[in-house]
Order: sequence, then C-alpha cells, then structure tokens
Amino acid sequence: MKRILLLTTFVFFLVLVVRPSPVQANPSGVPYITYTMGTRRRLVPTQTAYVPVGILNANYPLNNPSDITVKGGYVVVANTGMKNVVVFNTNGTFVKTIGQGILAEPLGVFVDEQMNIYVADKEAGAVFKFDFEGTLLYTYSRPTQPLFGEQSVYRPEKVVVDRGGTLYVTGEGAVNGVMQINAEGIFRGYFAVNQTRFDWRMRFTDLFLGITDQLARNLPPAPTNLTIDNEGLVYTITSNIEPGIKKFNMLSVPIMTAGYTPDERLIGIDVDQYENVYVVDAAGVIYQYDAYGNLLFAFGGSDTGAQRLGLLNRPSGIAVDTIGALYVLDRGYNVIQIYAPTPIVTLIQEGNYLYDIGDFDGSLEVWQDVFNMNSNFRVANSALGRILFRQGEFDQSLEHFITAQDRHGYSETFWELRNRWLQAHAGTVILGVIGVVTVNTTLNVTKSKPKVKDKLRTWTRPVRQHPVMQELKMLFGILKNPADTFYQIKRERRGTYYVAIGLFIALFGMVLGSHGLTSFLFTRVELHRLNLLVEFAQVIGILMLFIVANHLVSTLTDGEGWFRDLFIGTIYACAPLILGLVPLAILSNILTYNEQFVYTFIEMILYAWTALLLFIMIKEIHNFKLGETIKNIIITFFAMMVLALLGFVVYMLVNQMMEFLFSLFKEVIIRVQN
Amino acid sequence: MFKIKRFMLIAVLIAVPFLAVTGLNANIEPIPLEFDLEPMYEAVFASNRYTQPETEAIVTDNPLVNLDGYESIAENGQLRLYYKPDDLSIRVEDLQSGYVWGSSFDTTDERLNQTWRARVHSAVWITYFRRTTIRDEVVEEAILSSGMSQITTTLQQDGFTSRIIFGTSKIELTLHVHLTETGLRIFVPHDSIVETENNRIGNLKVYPFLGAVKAIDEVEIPGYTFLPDGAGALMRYRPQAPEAPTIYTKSIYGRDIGLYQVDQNPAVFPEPMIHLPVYGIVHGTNQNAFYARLTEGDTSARVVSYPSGRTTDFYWTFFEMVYRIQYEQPTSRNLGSIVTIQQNMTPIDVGIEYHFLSNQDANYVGMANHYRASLVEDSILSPLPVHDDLPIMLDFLMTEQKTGFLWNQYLDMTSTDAVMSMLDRLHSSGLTNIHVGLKGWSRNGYHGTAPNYFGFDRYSGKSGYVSLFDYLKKANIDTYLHVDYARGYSGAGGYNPMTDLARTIYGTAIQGQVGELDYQWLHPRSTAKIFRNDLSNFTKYGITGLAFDTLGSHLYSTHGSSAPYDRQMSVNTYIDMLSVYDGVIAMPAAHAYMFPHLNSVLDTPMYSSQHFKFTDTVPFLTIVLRGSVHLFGHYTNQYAHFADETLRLIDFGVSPSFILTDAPASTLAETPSEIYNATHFGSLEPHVVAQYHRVNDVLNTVIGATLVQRQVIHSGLVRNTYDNGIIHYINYTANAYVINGIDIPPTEVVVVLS
Repeated sequence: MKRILLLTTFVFFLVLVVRPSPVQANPSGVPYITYTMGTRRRLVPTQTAYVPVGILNANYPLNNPSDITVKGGYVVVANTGMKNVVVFNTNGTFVKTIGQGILAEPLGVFVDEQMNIYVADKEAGAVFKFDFEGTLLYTYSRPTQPLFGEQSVYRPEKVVVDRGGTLYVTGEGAVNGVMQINAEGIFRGYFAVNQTRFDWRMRFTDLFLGITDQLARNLPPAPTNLTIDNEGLVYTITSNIEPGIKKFNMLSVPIMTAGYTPDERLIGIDVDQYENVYVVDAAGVIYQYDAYGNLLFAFGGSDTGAQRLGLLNRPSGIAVDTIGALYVLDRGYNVIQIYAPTPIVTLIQEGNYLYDIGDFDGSLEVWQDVFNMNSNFRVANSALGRILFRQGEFDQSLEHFITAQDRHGYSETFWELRNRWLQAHAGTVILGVIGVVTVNTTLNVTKSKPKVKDKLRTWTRPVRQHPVMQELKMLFGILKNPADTFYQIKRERRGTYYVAIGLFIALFGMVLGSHGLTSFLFTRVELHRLNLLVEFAQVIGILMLFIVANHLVSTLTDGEGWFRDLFIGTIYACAPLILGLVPLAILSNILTYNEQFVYTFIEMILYAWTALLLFIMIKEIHNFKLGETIKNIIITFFAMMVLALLGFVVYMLVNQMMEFLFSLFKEVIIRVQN
Repeated sequence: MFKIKRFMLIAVLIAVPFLAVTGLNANIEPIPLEFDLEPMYEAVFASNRYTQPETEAIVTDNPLVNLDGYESIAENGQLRLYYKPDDLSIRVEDLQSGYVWGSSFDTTDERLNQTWRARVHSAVWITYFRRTTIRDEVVEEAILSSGMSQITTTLQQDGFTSRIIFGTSKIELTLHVHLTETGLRIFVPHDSIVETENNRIGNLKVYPFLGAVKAIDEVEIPGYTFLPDGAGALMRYRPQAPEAPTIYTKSIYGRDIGLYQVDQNPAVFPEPMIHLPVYGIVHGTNQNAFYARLTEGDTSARVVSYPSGRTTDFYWTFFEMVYRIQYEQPTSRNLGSIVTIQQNMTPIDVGIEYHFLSNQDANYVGMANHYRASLVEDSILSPLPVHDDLPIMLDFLMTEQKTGFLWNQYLDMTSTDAVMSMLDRLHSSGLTNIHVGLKGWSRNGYHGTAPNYFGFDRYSGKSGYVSLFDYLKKANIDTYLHVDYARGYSGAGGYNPMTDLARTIYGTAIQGQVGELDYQWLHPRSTAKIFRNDLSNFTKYGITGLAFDTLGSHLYSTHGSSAPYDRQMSVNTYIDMLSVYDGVIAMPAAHAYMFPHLNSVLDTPMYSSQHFKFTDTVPFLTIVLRGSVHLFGHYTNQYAHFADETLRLIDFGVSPSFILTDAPASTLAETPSEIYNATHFGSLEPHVVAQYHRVNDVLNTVIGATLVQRQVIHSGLVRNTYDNGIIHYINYTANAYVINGIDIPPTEVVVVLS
C-alpha cells in the first residue's frame, strides 16, 4: 500500500529527480567527466584520472573483437569476426595471428604465466590451449563427468586459468556459475555461484498472475565475465545484481564486493598487481575500484557516431598492464583504445600500499596530497580518518570520517572521544548528581521547597488551566491508561478537531525533527534532500487514508465510532511517537554502534506502542471485541489499498485525457500554421 | 619508487618561488620547472592530443587541375583568377609560386559517378525541401545536376557575377566571385535568393571541392586540413582506412539550442566548439596553402570536412550555409511528432574570403598570423598594452548557495577583507600583474542568482565591496565581477518568465540545470534590457570590469509566437549592449563575434575534440588572440596532470588562473560549486606563487612578440620561434634531448635568447 502511495507521489514529483551537476569547463581536454565517490555516497566530478592515449591497432583492422588480455608486453585479442586471435606488441605493432582454421567463434582469451594462450570458443564448444607460437596443445571439450550433468550445455565464452592450470569458464547455459575444470579436463564443479534473490515483487505477481515458471525464475544470474589476480583469486561480474562485482577465495566464498555497482550491463573486468579492479560497462564507462572495493574513479562514456578518442561505442573487454595503462576493446569501432593514468591515480595506489605495509606516516602524507587535490574525495577522507585515528588524533579523524560519511570509523572515533570526555569529567558528573540530590533534600527538609513549588504553580496556572493544555494532558493520559482516555474521547466528547489537527502537524514536525536531529550513525535520511510533500504524504497522508478507510469499513461493520472519534483517537494513539521521537533522536547523538541496541530497542518500543494504541483505539472507539477488531483492521488495510489504487487510476485517466487534449490542440495549431 | 614520486610531488606543491639564472651559457636559459618527474605515457605524444612532426614532402603541382578551357578574367598582382562559363568552376593561380588551385577536377575519375561528377564541377550546390502532400522531401541539386540550369554571367574587371536558376528546383540566386587586394572573395546576398512555392532552400555550398586532395592507397598531395575545432585541429592526409571514417560537421559557434535539442550525457563534457569561422588547407607544408574565412553568414554555417573514403576518394572541406532546417515538431508530451520545416529562411548573406599563402607561411601558424593581421586591420582585434610580466587570473568564490530542506543556506566562502589580505600576500611574493575575478559577489551566491545581481553578498555587504573596489582600483588591478545575463534561474527573480524567456522552434522554453538548480535561457532582448537596468549600479559602485559567464560561448536563436530572432540578431543585440559599457570585459571560451569587446578570455580552449580522424591538436586560436587579448587557462587547481598541462600553457602562450576561497573547499560539498575540488588559499598559496613564476619566467621573454614558427622536432618536443629572436624548447616527454648542442631535460622548457 505504502509502495503504491509512494509510487503515486513519485509520478507527481518525477521532475525533481537529482541529476549530477554537469561541468562545463573541461580542463584536461578529455571528452568525459571523471567522477569519484564523493561525500554522502554520491558520484561527484573530480580531476581527470585517465587520459586517452590513442588507438593501439591503428594499422591493423579488427573485426568484431570480443575479448582482450595483456601479458608480458603483448596484447592478445579474440578477433571473433575473423575467427582468430591477434597478438600485438604493447606499442601497437602487429605480431601475428593464431588459431586460424581451428577457431570458430573465439569469444574469450587468456594468457597464462608460461605465455600459453587459452581461447574460449562458443561455436566449437571448447576451450583451446595454444602455446605462444600458435601450436594447439590441448582441447578442453565438453566434460564427460556425471557431475557436469547430462543436460548441461557447454558453450564457453570467457576463460581464465590459475597457476595450477585449473580453468574457470563462463558460458551460455552455465547458469550454475563458473565451470571449474582442471588441467586434465576433468570437471570439478561450479564456482562463484551467485545467491538466489528472494523477490517480494515477483512473489506478488506470481500470486496474482499464477505464473508457474518458478524454477527458471529462481535460478541465480550467472557471472558474465571474470578475471584472476596474481594470487589466483577469481573476480566475477554479473549484471543486474547488487553487488555485481565480487572477488572469491579458493573455496568460492566472496571475500570482497565492490561498494558501487553500475546500473548498466557489465561487460569486462580486469585486476592489476595491486588488486585494483577495473570494470567497463555497456555505456562505455570505466570504473576503477581499490583492493577494498571502494570506487575510486568512474570515467568514459558512449560515443554514438562522433568517433572521439576516449569514448566507446560498444565496449567488449578491458585489460590493464603492469604500468597501469588500460586497454579497452570496442567492437563497435573495432579499435583498442588506450588510457594512461594521471598522477592522482598513482598517489592513491601509493597511499593504499603504504597503509597496507604499515607505514602510516608515509601514507598520511600521501593521502594529505590527495586531499589537497580534492578535499571531498571520499576514499582520501576515509583513509585520513583511519590513519589519524591510529595516531590518536581523534578530533581531526572525526572530521574526516564525517566528510567521508564513514559511519563505522565515526562510531569508533566517537567512542574514543566520548570515553575521553567521560574519564575527564566523571568526577564532575558524579559530584553534580550528588549536589543536586543534596540540595533537593535540604530544600525538602527546610520546607522551603513547597514554597518554590507553590510559586511555580501560581505562575503557570493560567497556562495549565487553558482548555488546550487540559486537552493535551490526554497525551500523557493515554500512555498510562489508554482505554480510559479513548472512553473520554468517545463518551465525554473530550478533544477537539483543532487540537487534533495541531497534533497531526506536531507529529509531522516531530518526524522531521527526528530526521534532522538523529546522529548520522542511525539514519541515512538527508534532511535537505527530503521532499516535503512526499514526506507529508508518507506520514500524514497514510494516517488520513487509514482514518477514512476505517471509517468507511466500520460504518458497514457496526462500529460505534464517529468520524470525529476516529480522527482524534488516531492522533492521540500516536502519542508515543509525538513524545518520543525527538528525545530518541537527541539521545542517538551520544550513542555509538556499540550501543546500537539501545537505539533500535527504544525505536521499536515507540512503534510497537503506537501500533498497540491504535489497536486499542479501534477496539474502544467502535466497541469491538478482540476478534472483531482484528477483522476490522484487516479489512481496513484492504480498503486502504483499494482507495490508493482508485486514486492512482483516476490520476492516470486524467493525465491521459490531458495528454490527449494537449496533443490535439498542438497538432491543430501546427497544421493550421503550415 | 613511491618514495621518489612522493618527493617529486611535494616539490611541485611547495616549489621554491624563485628561479635564478646563474653560471650558464649566456643566451641559453633552461628553466627549472621543478615538476613531478612523471611525464605522460610515452605513446600519448603520437596521438591527436599533441602536434605531430612534419613530413618534408615536396609538392610541385596540383595533379587534379589544369587550366585547359579556363578563361583568365582577373589578376591582382598575387593571384590570377580563371573561370569556366558553363559550370562557373574556377582556377586560382598563385603568381609567385605558380601553384594552381581549383574548385573542380580535370582528371576523369573513374570512381566518381554521374551525380558526384556534376557536384564536383558545379560552383554552387544546394539542398532544398520539396513540398509533397505528405512531407517535405530533402533534395540536393548542383548547377550541373539536371543540365537545365540557366546561368547569366556578367564579367567585371576583378571577377564575375552570375545569376543562377537551378534546372529542377527553379530556385534562383546570384553568385559574386571577385579578387580582392589580398585574396578571393565569394558573395551570395540572401535577398538574391528566390524560392518557389513548393521548393524552399535548405543549405548552400559554394566551391566545396576547392583544395580537395585525392587519397586512396597513397596520398597524391601531402598536407593537411586545418579545422578550427576547440584550440585547433589538423587532419593530415592519410591513405584510406579500411573502415569508412565519419564526416566532420560542426556548427560554427556551437549548436543553436533554439533549433536543435541538445541532450547532454552527464558522463561526457560538451564537445569543444568552433570559435573562429575559418578553415585551412595545406598542400605541402611550407609550400602552398589557403585559408577560408567567413566574413558574413558565420552565425548560420557549419564547417564540414569529408575524409577520403567517405563517399569519395577525396579529402574536401567547405562551409555549409544553413538557411532552413527540417525538424520534428513534437505534438504530444511523450512521443508524437510531425516532421516539418522552418517557415522563414534565416536571412544570411554568404561572404567567404580565401587567402592564399606560400612558403614559410603555408602552415597553420602562417594562417593564424595572417588571420590575426586581417582581424587587426578590420579593427576587430587591437594590440594590448605591453606589461613586463605575464598576467595571472585569480577568481575568488565569495559566497555560494546550498539548497536546504526548508530554506537555502548561503556559504560564506571568502570575505572582502580576506581577498585584500590574500592579494597583499601574493603581491609581496612577486605577483605584480594580478587580474581578479569575483564569483558569487551578490546576495544569493554564485549559482542560482542570474540575472538578479544587486545587492552584495550578505556577509561582506555593500561597505565591504566598496572598500574592496577601492583597494583594487588603487592597486591598479583589473577586476571582473562574474555575471550571467543570458540565463534566468528559477526563483531568482529579476526577469519575467512569461515574456523574457527564449523559445525553441518547438515553442518551448530552453531549460537547463546546474546541480539541482533549474534555469532558462533568456531572450537576447531581455538580456540586454536587464543588463541596461543594472548599468547605473555598476557606475555607482565603481565596478570597472565584468566577466560574462555564458554570453560569449552560448549563441542561440529564439522563436515562439513573435517573429524569429536569428543568431545574427542575437549577436547584434549583445554587441549593442556591450558597447554602452565602458569597463573591461572577460568571457570564458568566447566566440569570434565577441572579440572587439574582449579584454580577457577565460578557460581558453587548449584541446580539440580529438576525433579519430584528427591527427593533431594545434594552438591556432591562441596564436590568433595572443597579444590582443589576455588569455587565461583553466583553473590550475583542477589540473590532473600538472606538468603536462603547465607545459601546454607555456607552449600555447596562455596565462595561469586559479580559483580561491578562504574557507576550505569541503564546505562546498553538495553545492553546484563542488566541482572545484581544492580552493583553500591556506593550502594553495605556495602553489599559486610557484606556478605563476614558473610560467612567467618563460613567457615574459616573449610578451608582445609574435610566434613565427612552431616546429615539432620529435613527438612531444616542440620548438617555438618568436619574432624577437627568442626560441622556446618545450619538452613534454620523459626523454632528455640534445638539439643543436642545447641540452633539453625531460618535462622542462629551455629558453634560447639569440
């Protein structure tokens, strides 16, 4: 229901969707904007990280190439259209072709440490192993082991090989993951299997539409491409899942996942000797991740005919050489484009490297340089936070963690700071408490306290006795004695529309207040990104829908409550939220992740209590029995859904109508003008 | 390895701000630039990001043309003009070298079909829209296409004038071809064009094959086409590639957003534009060349260049004049549309001047110098007063707007007092020729304010600015307040969204977005009106300079219910508007029509679009403007490859610029200014000083001098020779070179004072 409502509001406010800021000035002359992960997990423009260097195969035409790999100063390409594999020098000189006459549809290519060339051939249904001279050494045909399955298809598309000679093969039909085949061609099982998704939406459509093809739907998507690092660990990419970029250990357990998965179809992946990961997607954007899966840079873009150096038409593979240059294959323009890193890339690698070997002072300096180049760089802020934390510079560390929105780092640093404060002020705090108690007791003993109390009472009497204040007292009453209070509302006609409306507004204010005041450890809501109307619809709109739906349902099912009772009762039932949200938000500011349970527990209590009060409210207002109440609530929810759907349909119809009239009008005008 | 690099980087960031010349050969001055020693990846120097070495091929004659059947009709001492009466094709003979240029080919090329042969031989070739019951068909027609065209030619002393009636379309026009004192001039007045009821003119090409070069397996005439793309690009003639390259076609002064919908991919920068209405053709470097300049009609023209292998075996380049376009008129908000044509022809005259160059002028540097001289002659450019030191542009970001939940936040980035103290510090570090730009000086911050500028920012206030202006005036610092009168931000006020907006030919407002802020482009008339209303304030507060952020780089026509306002009218409006302002004016990446009013160009284009078919990027634009306009590069803070980009500044003769704030740059997160990654003066100060001295110490040797030769000795090693005898060797590479006994260390510049 909420989803439908959200969808409706979304349609209304679609125009407000945030787009990245386009940068006009182009300082480095490259065609694409380079983005990095900025603060608050948004992509923000940064310095150019890679410069397009040129086209490797300027003098040798390729035909629909599908895969590329770089090893030992050679660039090896699966030249699918010509049914061969082409070898270039890294300076672009054509060396030779191999596999002519043997290969039918070479889609994947890999070169091992001994410079043997493996080619995955989909049409031939085999992986061929050649030596570097081009002599065919071995043909890995369809595995015959029963484990592989009688029905399984074997159409290899991509292949990598570890030092022990084990092949990791992806291919059409390899839905179970990556096929692991040892050097002798014996099938060892499936590797790097993705998790099956449990999709509520799919279940929901199944429920209503009765689509029976459950089995096929629940197969996990298979990895589409893979690479292997110097330690023999396999990295895979899978489109349309989150996270789509993963690194596996020998036991096929994912040990690293990329922190950002592009929306586009993922095409190619490679990893360098520092375990930085490079991915290219179908839109021609190249992503660089560090060894921890942090997105460092995203750059590039699609070229739809202009043929500009640096843009890609139909990327089909990516490879990185030992000095960090990227070779990206484009099967649309049949070219290999080269990209070279700029100093900021080298600095980041250096910073990570020094951190990994434990040279924190050195690493600090390097990251400081990166910070000076771009002070909003998320990875740099996070790294500076970590290093300064280790050095005990908690105040500075905290600032960097805030900029980086590194919640765990912030939590740990804040714990240290809080601890330091508590240690420094423990004495004062205890003394203060003792002091207050003593004063209180003394006052009581000397009987001066009643005087003070009396005075206070006299001063505040006009306020306290104001009818509105009397009414608001029910907020507290409802917490202590809900049934009685609802009785008062219903029978004694206590409570007015005005105050109730005021309380609805107060609730909305409290929700906003809690968004604004909650420590960023416990919320992902960014106040200035909130849409006031969406927020209003989510809080007040849903409550209103509930009231209307319940009123409609209850009039039919002998509920005694009037609309007024429901309206006032509902908002008073929200008392725990009205009273508790903001104090909880304030409390969250002195908590760390160590005390997370405190926050979640209180939050749960607030919501559960509200739900319980709503339940009691319906029961009391309508004078239902327990069973009737439950039935009533279920029907109310159904009615809410129907109402929302109805609203949506009406909205769509009106929209269509307007669209039709608009087109008609416009076309008439244009035809008349011509 | 890392250690060394780090030290180098630190050296860059806090380089020593003085460079003494001691104990060296008296007339050779190697400038220690103290860079990070990490040069660009070697292979990049052979790419079209840089200029390539020349080949020394000799061109004796033009194999495509001869003078058989041509009548000599005029001569001006340098050139002799010939023509053929039946197709009006021409031959131009350079009397000095004897080289003959032709608009058509005299060889019978077996690979050209009948249609193409007709086009090649015809002087004029049009595209028109033929109205049918269903839609307007696009038809091409050259003079010889039908064999029925009528030509009435009047010969004059210096050329000829022809009335042409096309055979099929019956469209009529008059072509004037005349020799001027220095070149050849083509003129087609728009009021000579007569359309018929059902045939409406679209495009016009005049002598498109002038200077064409044949290249199949080998190139008949070595040389290149110069294209004014961004900073300038060359397309050297190469044998045909196995795959057909794309045609280069680009509107002069950018695409007209009033006519075409431009969908900007957020991953990609807007493509570099054509700022100058010129192109050039070289037949044999330093032997024969010409460049063509559009003197009229530049606001509605494209530069089109066909590489060999694309429809023909020739490289050919021309101006395509656009009178009318066909477009899809949307009829519904989602997909429906009907194809229609622009109702009124854009009234542009076509005036093309060809200037023929030979020997040492026959290259892109010679073209640029000749073009600059003609702009000076036409009083479009005038020499700058000479200063001893190079200028530096320091932009200060004063305040910026940050979108909030309930209300916006205004970030106090720099106060006027801070600007003064920063300038004091920099002045004492030897920066004597500072230019200052102020961004976000008005009440609502930098973005989201246009076109509503007064009053001053809420932190420094009127008094702060008055004292700052006073300080700047006393220090004799040129100051530019950044304004943008061509855009109106939603909610900014100061314009009327009902009457002041520009409209596309579809009738919609032209919208855009910066970060989360929406804006609309304003009608040029409204731009001028709003600007005039602010004039009294500029005088009142002593504002002596303005930087117009979009006026010089965004040119559009506007349509809608009132009469269409074409791009030439927009230009005229802007020129009129600026002529009443007597302060100094700066504009980023400004187009040629703004040159008469410019004191400074910001964000000077330093690169080309790097299309696959380009072979080189060349500093054409900067050679044209050097000495007449202050040229400032992109913000040095944004540089990715510091050494390389600084060397390019020196190579192209462009001054450095920075954007600075007093508050840390992280404050700018989530504002449209978050693209400025590092602006904090506290961290950047030594860097600003070092960068200035680095560039100034080289370029102050050639202030007021003209670049006469630019030679690429090896890929990545450039020798710039100036007319005051100074030579700069600029080494982009990691290799050390010895040239004529002079040591040229990697990534450094050597100045030879001969």
